Amino acid sequence: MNAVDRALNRILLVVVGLVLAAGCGWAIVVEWRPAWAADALRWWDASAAPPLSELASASIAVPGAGVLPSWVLAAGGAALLAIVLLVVVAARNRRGRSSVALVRPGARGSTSVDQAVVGAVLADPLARRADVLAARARVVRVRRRPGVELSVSVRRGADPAEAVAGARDAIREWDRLTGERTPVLLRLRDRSLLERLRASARVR
Amino acid sequence: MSATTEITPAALDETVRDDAPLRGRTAVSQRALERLAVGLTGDAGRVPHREASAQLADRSGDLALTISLPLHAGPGSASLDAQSDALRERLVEGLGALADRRVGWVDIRYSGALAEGSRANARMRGAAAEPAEDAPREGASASPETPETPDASRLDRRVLRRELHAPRTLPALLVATALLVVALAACALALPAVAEAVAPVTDVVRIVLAEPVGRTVVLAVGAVAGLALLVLGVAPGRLARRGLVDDRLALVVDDGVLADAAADAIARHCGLEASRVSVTVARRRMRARIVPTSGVPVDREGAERAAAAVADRLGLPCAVDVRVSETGAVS
Repeated sequence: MNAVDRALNRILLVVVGLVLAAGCGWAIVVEWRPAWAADALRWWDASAAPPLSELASASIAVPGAGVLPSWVLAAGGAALLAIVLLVVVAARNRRGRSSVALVRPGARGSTSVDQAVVGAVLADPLARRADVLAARARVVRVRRRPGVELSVSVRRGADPAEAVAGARDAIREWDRLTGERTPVLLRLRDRSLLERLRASARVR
Repeated sequence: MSATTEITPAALDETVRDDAPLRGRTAVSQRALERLAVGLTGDAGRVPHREASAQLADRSGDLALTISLPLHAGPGSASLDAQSDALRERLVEGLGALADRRVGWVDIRYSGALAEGSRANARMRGAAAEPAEDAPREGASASPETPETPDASRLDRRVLRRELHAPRTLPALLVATALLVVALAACALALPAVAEAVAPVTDVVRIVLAEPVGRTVVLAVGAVAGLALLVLGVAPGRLARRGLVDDRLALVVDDGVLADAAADAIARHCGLEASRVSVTVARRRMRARIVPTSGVPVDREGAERAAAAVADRLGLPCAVDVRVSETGAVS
């Protein structure tokens, strides 16, 4: 999920929301004809309503399908638009992910590093800590460059700052190994609902 | 005849090397080359052979290899460049010496990691006594120059912004789906057969829409839904998280984590059970509520300091309000 997808989501919501709210709101005004909207209603009755109702009751001859009312064509257009939107969303859904954490081209061949290495170097040392319930690392693309999202669930009762310090150690090791600075997002994740329901203290 | 065709391996080698009259031909099949490359990769990379793989191709007349193997990681391991350079060197040498092939290109893919000091690793080092030496082990001496690119922190800031705000994927998907369903239903209604089948439903809809009140209610619901979508689209949608960007990473902490940690710190400071302290974290301040033990005074300022210290240690300072419940619990 990148910035473009987020913008598209919001644009869709705003456009559909505006059309729905303005259309329904105006229809209510037309229905009840309040005095404060007299001027607008006069304009509506004179110049906007007749062509619209004409358009709504019009029917268009479609070759091969006979004569269809215009609203069916409008609905068909809307269905097509919705299908396109859904396909676009589905196609872009996992676009932000990547399985390659690093590619280094060289004169005699390229060297690439898989996501599994990131997990072993960044997440595994954290997951082995007593104060960490789970740690997971995955590669995401940020502005066409690979970045790492390191997600850590801290055990109840532990100091999150210590988990952050542990993550910093792991990142230092990654920097030393690769010799470059991969952008890292460290997320301290809330316990899931299931973990919340469990007893917070346990004895082994 | 029998005497002349008896060829020892050494003689064969001679035959191939010298331009003496040919008495036989040595062919190394692709499969054999691949196995050879895997073996060399395993030895040179000090990894179990079954974890290495090799593929061959041609690259403008030279042999091109694509190698996959685990990377040595952990303290004391050589850097990525050192490991891959050494491996490349050994593969070019080895395939040249053993199969007489010129290797012009080696793509290396590290598919996993062997922790330095792990059992598989130790075994491999024991088995391959000689190659263990030649991978340049820079360890601590490798000063990793981590170039501080000027846009690095800007990138982090961008990621942080993204992480702290809702992506609105689900509402957008639902809206697109609803649009599709409504439009398809309208299209289907144009078919006489469908229209007849759902006539009871459309009749009810028609009766409702015939009354001005019915129309208004339906339109009002539509208008409210539209406003709700508009708000979803425009509102920042701040998630219950907070974050910061420092010189190395972008840190995002769920408010719940901060609340848990603060509650634990207060409970420890006041000597209470964790279940007696509840903390709610809002955007700018957190509110803690303590149910004291009957007859034991609560150090309110101390509790405030303890909770604030948790947030400060994370680098996400937050004001703290501590309220002590009027009634305590006898225990």
